[in-house]
Amino acid sequence: MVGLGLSYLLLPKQRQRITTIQRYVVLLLVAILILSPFLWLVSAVFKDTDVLMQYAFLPPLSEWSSETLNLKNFYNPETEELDSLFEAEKTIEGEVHFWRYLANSLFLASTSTIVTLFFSSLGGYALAKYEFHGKYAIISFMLGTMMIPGLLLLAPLYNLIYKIGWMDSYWALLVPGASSAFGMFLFRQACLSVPNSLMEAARIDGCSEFSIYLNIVMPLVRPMTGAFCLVSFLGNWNSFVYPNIYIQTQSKLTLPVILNQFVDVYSQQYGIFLAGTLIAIIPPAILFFALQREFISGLTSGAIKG
Amino acid sequence: MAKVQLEGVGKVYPGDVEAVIDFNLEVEDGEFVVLVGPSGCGKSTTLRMIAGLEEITTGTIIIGDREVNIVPPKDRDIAMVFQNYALYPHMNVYDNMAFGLKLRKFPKLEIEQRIQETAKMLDLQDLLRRKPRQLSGGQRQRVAVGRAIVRQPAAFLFDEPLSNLDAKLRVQMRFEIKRLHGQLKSTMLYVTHDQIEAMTMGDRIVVMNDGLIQQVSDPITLYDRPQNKFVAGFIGMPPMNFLSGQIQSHGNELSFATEEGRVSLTIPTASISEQLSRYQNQNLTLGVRPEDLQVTATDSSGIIGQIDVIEPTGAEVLLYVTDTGSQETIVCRVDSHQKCQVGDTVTLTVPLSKPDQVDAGKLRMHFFDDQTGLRIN
Repeated sequence: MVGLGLSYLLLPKQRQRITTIQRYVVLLLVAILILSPFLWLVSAVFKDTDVLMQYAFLPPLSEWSSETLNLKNFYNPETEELDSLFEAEKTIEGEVHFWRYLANSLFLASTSTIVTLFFSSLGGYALAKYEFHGKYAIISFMLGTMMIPGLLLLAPLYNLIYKIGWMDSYWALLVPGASSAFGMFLFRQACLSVPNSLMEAARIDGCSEFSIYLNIVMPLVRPMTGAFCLVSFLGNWNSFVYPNIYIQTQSKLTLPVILNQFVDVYSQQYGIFLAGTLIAIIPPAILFFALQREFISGLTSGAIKG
Repeated sequence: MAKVQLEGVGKVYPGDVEAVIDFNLEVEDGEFVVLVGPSGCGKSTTLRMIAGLEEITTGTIIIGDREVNIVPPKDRDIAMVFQNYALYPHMNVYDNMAFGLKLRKFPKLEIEQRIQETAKMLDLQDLLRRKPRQLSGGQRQRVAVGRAIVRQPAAFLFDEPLSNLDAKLRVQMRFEIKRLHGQLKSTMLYVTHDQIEAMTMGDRIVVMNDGLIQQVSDPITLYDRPQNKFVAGFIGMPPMNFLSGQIQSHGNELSFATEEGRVSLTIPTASISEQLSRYQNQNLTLGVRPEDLQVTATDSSGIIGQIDVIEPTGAEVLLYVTDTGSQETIVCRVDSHQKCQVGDTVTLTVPLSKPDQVDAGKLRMHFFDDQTGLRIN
């Protein structure tokens, strides 16, 4: 602190260097704080069940062996009991592998994201670029629906899904969420920044209205598309309530539901549950790294004029 | 190439806003016609109606021998160059130029051939793989023109294409577009608010104001014989000077005098017409171009005033003189060697050419009816 108080005695360049170091130290501490749970998860997954609680993170180097660090949480064929992630789980329908739940989640999250992206972007584009009777009434109505908490609609939606006959079907998860008012607003904002002259030039060049949307507008709102895909995928990937309610067949369940079941099933083998959690993190993490530039650009678009 | 005809074309926006009123024009095959006027006069709206980007409220538009009122833009066989270029930012120059042809299912070979020819014409060969953001303003404009040329349309439409360029580039591009017209011999409709662009580029000029056509003529006729006060004041830089007064007769001569009587200008023979003689002792407006005024001795009759501002332009000098009587500012164009200073009192008159002089027939004074604004002589 004395040193900080005496900083006025230093040259500007030295002062700048100290400021930079201070900045990096603070950032490092914050990074450690944020990453610690993840690092704990990764180390726990590779630790043997017997030493799981013995060490906070990995055991000391001197104690590294197949007894302390192994892949038994993922696959342990040595015993007859079901005690690893990738061994088949025996259910009423037969054996269900963990990969099945992963595939279900991937399918649902991807399909839902693509469908929502299509309808939200198309709706947002129409609201931004076309004038029609009732446009502003529709926008106001959509704004109103956004104020209703989703869980309030659970009961009426369940009733509707049941009457249609979509219980235990993926239609119950894909159709209600096919269009998003929030998504439409995001794309409306993004499409407003596309100059009308580009669309007019495309019309003269020979584009149909849908072709203008697909070939001209959508490439220009890529940052928003990337950001929306990421948010939508994460939302669908982590969705628990609706799959838990609508899906009854074990082999159709998704990762969040199964991992919730694992908390009880593997209460004595916590490492298996943690292994499942780690696997569940990987696809969204990959998507985030692939789309992070678009995500940041999409979040900050419009912040600066020009 | 084709003729473009507009018959009784009108555009009314919601709220009964009449943007274009009874527009009639026939553009011959291969002609370069410029639509010029102040902002909001309806020139861009007219162009957009020809392009099909705006619906027509009344009238008919014919391109070639086909009525195109309800024909979508892509089927009208026109190409448009926009003020802000409207280049697709995510495509490179080649793809921008090829886009329209690909949509029309042209063979790849033909697309390649057309683009290479056009790129050579516009000196774009080295820029074909660049994206628009990597180009300068002038290069982008050439790409926009190139995108229109590869389509080989029946008519080209230009909507203030040079407005976003700096002065020097504008002059250069004006020349390029005019040269292109000479090369392609295509029908071109060009919209601008810059009357210098209009005068230098058009075979014919359509002057518009408040949605109405004011005059359609070639540049020289428009300059020498504006049909009404609006055209007279709009065409020409600096604009025409206007004075209110009456025609008076003095023996065989007619003169123009302002109400205060302080200004008295003898009317040159070439500017007198039978119709003008009938306006004696009636109020009307005199228009005189800056180059048709001369500085004379202070004891002669004319417009007497004090020089407020002197603008040397290099080849000549512009004098801004405040008329002592009406306090109106009169602009006079004089030779750059004229010795004048701010604050000097000068007399401005209209030179009276001798019958055998080259400019004997030149109309130096333009008279306009005060009620209608229409030309009298």
